[in-house]
Amino acid sequence: MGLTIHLQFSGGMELLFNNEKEKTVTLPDTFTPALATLKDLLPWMRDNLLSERAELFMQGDTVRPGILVLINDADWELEGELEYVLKDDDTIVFISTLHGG
Amino acid sequence: MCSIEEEIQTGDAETPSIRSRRRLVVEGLCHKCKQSPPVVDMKRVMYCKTCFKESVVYRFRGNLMRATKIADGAKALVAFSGGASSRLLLHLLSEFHEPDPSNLRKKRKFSDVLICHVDQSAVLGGEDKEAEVRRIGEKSGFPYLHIPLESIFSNDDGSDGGALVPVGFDLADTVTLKMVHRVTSTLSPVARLRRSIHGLGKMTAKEDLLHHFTMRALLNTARKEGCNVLILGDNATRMAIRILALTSKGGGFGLPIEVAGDTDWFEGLVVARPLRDVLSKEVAVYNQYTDLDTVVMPALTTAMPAKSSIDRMTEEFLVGLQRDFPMTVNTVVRTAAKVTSEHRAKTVMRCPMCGGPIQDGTNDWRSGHTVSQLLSHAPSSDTTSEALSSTSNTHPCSTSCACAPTVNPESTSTSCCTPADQPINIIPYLCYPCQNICRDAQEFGATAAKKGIDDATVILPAYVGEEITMRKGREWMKKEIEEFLIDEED
Repeated sequence: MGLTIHLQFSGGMELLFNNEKEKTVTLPDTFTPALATLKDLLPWMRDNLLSERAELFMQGDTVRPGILVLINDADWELEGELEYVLKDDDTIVFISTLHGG
Repeated sequence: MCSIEEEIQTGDAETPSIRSRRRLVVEGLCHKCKQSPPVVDMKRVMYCKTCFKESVVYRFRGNLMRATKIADGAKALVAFSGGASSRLLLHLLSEFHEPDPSNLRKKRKFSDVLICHVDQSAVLGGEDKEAEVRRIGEKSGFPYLHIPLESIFSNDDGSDGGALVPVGFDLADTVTLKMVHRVTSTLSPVARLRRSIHGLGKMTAKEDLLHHFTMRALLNTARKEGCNVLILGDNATRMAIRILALTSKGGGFGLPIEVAGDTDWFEGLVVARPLRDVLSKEVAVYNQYTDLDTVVMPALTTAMPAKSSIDRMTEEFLVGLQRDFPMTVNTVVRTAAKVTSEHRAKTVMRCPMCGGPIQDGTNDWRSGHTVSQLLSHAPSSDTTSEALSSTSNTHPCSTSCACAPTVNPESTSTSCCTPADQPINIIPYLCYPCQNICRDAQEFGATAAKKGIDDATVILPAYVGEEITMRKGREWMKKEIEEFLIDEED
């Protein structure tokens, strides 16, 4: 059984993800528990969930500047950013702080 | 005496230890209270949820009190777009407005608070979201005013104010935009608003004009409702973007009224920006922690590439820089807050379009560095007075015309030197950034006219023309009585 992650989008981010504000996903087996990080999740989201242009979500291997990421309600900068190891039942929030979303 | 000395001594002895204790950062705990685990990293300081919220509220209150140094009991108008910053503003303001339970005799800062939502949907779309904005606004308990942006095309009493329409375009001449005031128009206010925004070619000009119109609608509403304070939700990130964008567009002269402490430029109305120290990231985190619902309104540059406008590009630049250097935004905002210009000098006029100050000699400066005319039209040393004198030569003003301040404003449309009778080149009367908007309109209109499209021309609200007429009247009169005036320095 793969990891289950709750994703939330707001501040305009939902426009990039089929206008869904919340989504619970079960990650495929390629995501090894206790090893898979946010760095693996972002490209997966881009390839599997994103409905709009990818450059509005990602820049390089991280999110575009101006997009805020909260992991279980905590700033991702405290959680090691891309190196954060995903855990089952994590809630990850993406908020766009840019003008007009 | 002795006791004071003792106190000083003991104070001295304790200070270093208190300081070091304060500075001490406990690994894995909030840097402020050192009790709870941290959840946010703001400019390399880690806060727990409670301390973070406190710090935002503290800055909000401090800024609001500093900006509104007027007596208690003022009436305030809050600009509410429905977006994240204004949602937070509304939340903090309703907490602020609550009577203090521990001190019931304490007076409220504001006697009344009104919410004003300027509905830009005629230009931006998103009509379906207006109901949601209204729901959030009304939930706060304050009276909610819904002002359609197109209302700027009407007079204060709601009657049709007519509009300024352009008269002919010339591709070879980009420094004149001749416009004439039409009292009646078959176009509805919404259609006029759309024409004015879509009659511009560049996205930067569109954004600027939309901003001026929105500000105008807010100021009008505040005056009409008898408010003393207008509260805007600009956050620190937005302010920093605006500072850089404004400067690059040639609007540096007006910086003091946009970002610095000069909050009472608009007569009788204090403009406060209490979130000016709160980063957009802090706004988003606060809203998330407090479950504040926001409405995402599309902007003109939503999902557009960074190069689509100066503001959009500045945002991309600044937000990117902020990620690696977390003090960027604060540095920009605090530096710009110290900027002074001669905007309060007596000779400085107000721009009829944006209401900002016009730097003296703007037209000279422009003609000195621009090759914008292919015709052999010699740049005059002072285009303003040239435009003025040519007008007064062809139509000599008599004392009974509208230029004289004694004549009531209703008769202006019939006077000899109003735009109702003859087109005026409005560009010399505007501030530098607004001149750029008109030049864009001229260029876009001329290109469209060449292709045979005639409904792509810009339309401006009547107040722009009225203010130009008034200024022309004042200048004409000043010139007439000049030799009788006593110079202050004499």
